[in-house]
Amino acid sequence: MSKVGILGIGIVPARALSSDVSYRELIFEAAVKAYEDAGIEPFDVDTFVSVSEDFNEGVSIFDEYVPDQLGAVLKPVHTISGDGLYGVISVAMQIMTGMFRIGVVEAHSKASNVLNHLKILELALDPVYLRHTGVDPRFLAGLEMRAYMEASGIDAESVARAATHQRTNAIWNPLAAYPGKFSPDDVLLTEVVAEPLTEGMVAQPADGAVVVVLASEDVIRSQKKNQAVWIEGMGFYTSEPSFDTWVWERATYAELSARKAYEMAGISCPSKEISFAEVDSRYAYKMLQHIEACALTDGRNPAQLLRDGFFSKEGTLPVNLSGAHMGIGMMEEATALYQLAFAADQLLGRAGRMQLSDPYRCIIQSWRGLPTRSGATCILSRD
Amino acid sequence: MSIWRKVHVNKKAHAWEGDIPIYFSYTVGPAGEKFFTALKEKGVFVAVRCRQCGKVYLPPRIYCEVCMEDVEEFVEVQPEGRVVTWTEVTRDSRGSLLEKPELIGFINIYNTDGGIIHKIVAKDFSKESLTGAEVKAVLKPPAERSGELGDILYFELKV
Ligand SMILES: [Zn+2]
Repeated sequence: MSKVGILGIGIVPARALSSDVSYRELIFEAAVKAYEDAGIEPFDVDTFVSVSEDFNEGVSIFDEYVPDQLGAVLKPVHTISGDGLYGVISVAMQIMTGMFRIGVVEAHSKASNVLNHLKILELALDPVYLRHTGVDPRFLAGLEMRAYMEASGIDAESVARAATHQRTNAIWNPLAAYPGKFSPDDVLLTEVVAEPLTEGMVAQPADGAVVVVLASEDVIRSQKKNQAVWIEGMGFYTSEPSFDTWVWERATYAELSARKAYEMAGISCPSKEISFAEVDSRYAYKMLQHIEACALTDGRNPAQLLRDGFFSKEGTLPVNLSGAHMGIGMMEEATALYQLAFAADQLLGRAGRMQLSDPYRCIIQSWRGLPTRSGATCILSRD
Repeated sequence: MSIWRKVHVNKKAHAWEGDIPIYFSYTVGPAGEKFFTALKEKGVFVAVRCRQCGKVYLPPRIYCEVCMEDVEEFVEVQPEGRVVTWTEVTRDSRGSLLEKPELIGFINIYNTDGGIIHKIVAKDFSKESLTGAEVKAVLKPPAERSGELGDILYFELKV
């Protein structure tokens, strides 16, 4: 089986509004940059995957609206939902078959086109047993956050600190839409969404697009010499999809997918063999929960580690230096690929003010968002 | 290839206004029929037990997610249980402020492995004691029930 690596990435900086272009033009811009970075023409690409969800686009059968701006006309292309990392894994698996040498993943967000995000989220709830309350559907995040906090002894201030951690990190990420310097109190004092969840703990929507070009080892060796980033491990799982059997206090899907990816990469002690991590944080408490699920704390309390600076740039195991969802912005399927791009830059020594000294391997973990128990992970490493 | 020009004046950025007016009638299926009929006619919940692994599902289903076996041992249970986790929301699903904040909880129904997510009405509750509190469903009068979750008005603390 061929090893799969990253040949190039194109990103449009995330922003709260993008009235200067349409969603197709956003994708087009990212695609042009990606092919330039990869040193290829779209005609060289053997297979394309776009990651999107019809309701977020406001167009049904959205896959038909993808090929032309990607250079994917007259080519194999399909759309999957889930999350950007699912797209990466899907293309990587295609390349591993040996049937394809170069594959492209696309994810984007035109969240500013959506006038009522809460209604889309409400439509994801089970119509018979969950939609009856009529309240802000983020009540599910409130239920989950409380269960997690009570089970792990983490307080709301620690969750607020997870939010400020990411927004501060985003100050040094030029692709981030929501950088800022805040105190945990600032976060705690924002409007209550679903107690204990406050507005300041919810990632805000952003527009953007990412195109990632993946390729087999022979293609990458012929172009990138010894400057490449490889996908060492992958996993994606759905744990308990029905709310009545949810394990409320744990992110089981992340535990399973991380374990799978570690196994594939031959990692037995993640906290020692991982240089840094990028995890999903659509709601601030998810950062702490996902860090634990990825087995990065050796049984220690992630809130205490966060307070001690363990996850900071100077810490032992930096987490979400990119700013993640809280700092970059909530771009549904796309944010995880902004994190993947940041991680690839880290491994190649191109992360600017956030550059770590000599990182060699990282984990990227994603979640499909409410009301799902689905998520994916990838392990990246450099030569 | 590239974008040569972008819209760079706010007032020149056009947008087409659209909506998605789609409507559904979601059938509840054989297990749901049992659940909602019992709720309407007897004021009780119907759960279902998997013979193979013993798991008791509520809401009921006709298959087990653990064993992938048919499950058909339906049992009636009282609409009472324990608050597993809860939250308090301030807005409705349109984003408008509610008249007053509402408590929503996941209630594990006694003698089942499942539960119901519903409103909780609790006067003078303490945040420390709501998790784990015993609650029971307050239902509409029998004549007003229509066989849906709205037949449950809310759950209240058991005294
Ligand atoms: Zn079973």
